[in-house]
Amino acid sequence: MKRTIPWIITIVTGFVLVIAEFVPPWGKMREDVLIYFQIISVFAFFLGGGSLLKINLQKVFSKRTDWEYALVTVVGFFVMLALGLFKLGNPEMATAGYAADLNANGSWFKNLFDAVKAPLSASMYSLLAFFIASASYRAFRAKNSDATVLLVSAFIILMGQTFVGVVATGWMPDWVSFFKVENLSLWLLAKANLAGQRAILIGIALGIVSMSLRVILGIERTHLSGGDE
Amino acid sequence: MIQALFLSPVFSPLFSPLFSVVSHGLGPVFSWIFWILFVAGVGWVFWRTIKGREVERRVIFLMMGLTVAGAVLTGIVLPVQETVVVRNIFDTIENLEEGDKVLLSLDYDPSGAPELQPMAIAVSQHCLEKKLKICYMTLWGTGGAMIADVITAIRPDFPELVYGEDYCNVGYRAGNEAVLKVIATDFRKTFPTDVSGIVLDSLPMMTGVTACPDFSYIVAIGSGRPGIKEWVEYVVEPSGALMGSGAAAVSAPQLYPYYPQQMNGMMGGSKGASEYEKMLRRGYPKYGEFRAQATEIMGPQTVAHVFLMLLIIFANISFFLAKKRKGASA
Repeated sequence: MKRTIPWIITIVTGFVLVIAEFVPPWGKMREDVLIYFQIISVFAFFLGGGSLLKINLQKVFSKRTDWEYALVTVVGFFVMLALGLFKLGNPEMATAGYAADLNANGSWFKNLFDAVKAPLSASMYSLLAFFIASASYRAFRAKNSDATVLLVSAFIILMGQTFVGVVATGWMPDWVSFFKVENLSLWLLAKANLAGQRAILIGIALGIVSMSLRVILGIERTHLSGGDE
Repeated sequence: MIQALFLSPVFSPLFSPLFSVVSHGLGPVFSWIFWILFVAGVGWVFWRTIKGREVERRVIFLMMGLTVAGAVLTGIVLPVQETVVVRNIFDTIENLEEGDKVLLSLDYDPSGAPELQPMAIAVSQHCLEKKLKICYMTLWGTGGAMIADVITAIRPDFPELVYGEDYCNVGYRAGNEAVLKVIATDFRKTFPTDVSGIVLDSLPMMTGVTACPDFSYIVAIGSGRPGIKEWVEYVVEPSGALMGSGAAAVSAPQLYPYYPQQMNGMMGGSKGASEYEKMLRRGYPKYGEFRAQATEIMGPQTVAHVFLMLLIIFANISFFLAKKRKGASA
């Protein structure tokens, strides 16, 4: 039963959406189904939040390794949840009530987001620069012809993304302007890269179509695993 | 990437006194010290490389940190070369008529903000200069804060703006691709109200907007999923809406297959943003003095790229020397 009902829902939804795509009068039904999807995706937040709490509270109460971090996660979760739900310190509360914009300037939610989440995210992303530098030094070597093509392409793109390329090949006369780094870089991105990316995209699209058909027709049921018949 | 650290709200106050010192006369001295240290550091790495010795990872980390920090503190600003990919977006907005509506979707979080926020600000300024009406939205839960920051940044230049008439913010809705699929044909079904709960029908600028194609232009600025690719697949392709985009540098190459058919232009990373800022400054002289964030970022980014390129060259010299030594000893 646990697998049969989800399987029937998958088949019905899949067929409705496919038919609605090709039969205009069914277009309205497609929109309705998509609204259901939006509503269900909101419930995913409850599931995600519940799961996060369960795992981290278990860690805190059983005092497992690094339980202090789990405590910070739980406290952070509840603080942001309270500030967001009850719009604490939100200047728009007076006029808009609980419909006030979460990110209104001066609201505690926005202030905390700007002071904690924004710098933490930016810092984490910034660290990539260090790892890229170290990885480039160790791994980017012309060991064979494939690696050499990759290396040369990467080098041109790196130069083309900054003013270095313009300076390096700015002296070239117009009749060989194609070989200026900025033009080569654009050619690599808009032609060579495009060809490869389109081939990959078309391959992926065909794979998605065949996989979707298998799911809709009930041939593929691995996504239903975990429950008894 | 790393410049995000120095521009983040927590760290930028720490560095601002240094910026101030540099801009008040110590710039050239600091600049010379920085370049001497940079050349000395690179020379040391080169020396170790030709001697066949490995350079420790922490040394590379330290040098990268000092390189970008030095470049930020010296305030290096380099010229920007315009490309047709970015110019197409600028020209499209330039050719729109007063009162036309533009949908601006900011689908990113603070980690992508140093690259993408300058695009959102520059495009917003351009639209408002042209007296176009902007509707902001986001597919990311964190995007609401990004929209609020953009509006805060542009408001001082346009004090006469009236909410609901000149711009509006419909905020975030959960559902990712499903949101796009619905707004492609019925905008109000997903966004019946704006971010503050005001019914969309009561906003004068939204009169006549029933679906995405009713916007004269869509600019999707994003750094992941759902983002530009989803906009193309679920809105542009089925509805035929006209769209331009702004992508993080890492994701830009994956989006070239959609240019120029599905999106008529694309700003890729800080470079794309700095190009747009340059076009804005040229077209609207009042922006000559404004703090062009992406243009400022391009200086440190260029120095970091040069350092990266030198590391790759040195590594390959070391590789070939080692191969040669191995061949000679065999």
